[in-house]
Amino acid sequence: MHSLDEALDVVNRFCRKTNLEESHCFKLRLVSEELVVNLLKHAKAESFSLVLEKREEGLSLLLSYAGERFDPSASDLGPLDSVEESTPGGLGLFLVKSVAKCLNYRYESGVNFVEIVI
Amino acid sequence: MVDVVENGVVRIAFKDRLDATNATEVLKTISPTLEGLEKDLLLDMSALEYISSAGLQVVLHCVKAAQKVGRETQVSGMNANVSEILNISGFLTFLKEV
Repeated sequence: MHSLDEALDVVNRFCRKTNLEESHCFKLRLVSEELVVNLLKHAKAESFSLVLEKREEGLSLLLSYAGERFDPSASDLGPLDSVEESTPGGLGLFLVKSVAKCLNYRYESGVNFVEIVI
Repeated sequence: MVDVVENGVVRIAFKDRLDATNATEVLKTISPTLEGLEKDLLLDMSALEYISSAGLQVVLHCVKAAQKVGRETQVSGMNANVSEILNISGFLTFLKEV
């Protein structure tokens, strides 16, 4: 895959195929969008792979992309405390960490691997 | 995608999705309204199904525009999923829900 639109198409088809309830689809779409937007921007990845699975422990999302090292779990931004102190960016990865039950990251031979269960 | 109606307040009604696929376009549509703002803002989310961080930036832009001219921003009609995202992001600490 090369774009956010392609990733969201995969998520929407997965939601229909597995008959997921709306709140789970919402979170799956959110996590996918935030990660893909960030990997295209920060890892300078030209393409990526997205694999979705429904497991006993929850919904699993495995995202892999060749490019610069970019660990989405390393972001330490929290919720906004005030409008005055707000800065653009960073909220997306905070949302990912907020809705994820677990988030694992590794970087091997120039490829980033992110696995999330929600 | 978005409607703007002026009455006692300026009501901006978001529709369907507010995310990275359309946030720039939505912001472009509402910018003239925000630049000439003279009343309080009401963000109507009753037809909004989904919001991401890109959508939250649009909401933040609205709040800042209102604050700049001494006006308040209220939000209404959020579904449970949208409300959860605004809540965990801290937005409901400075947005008044009506």
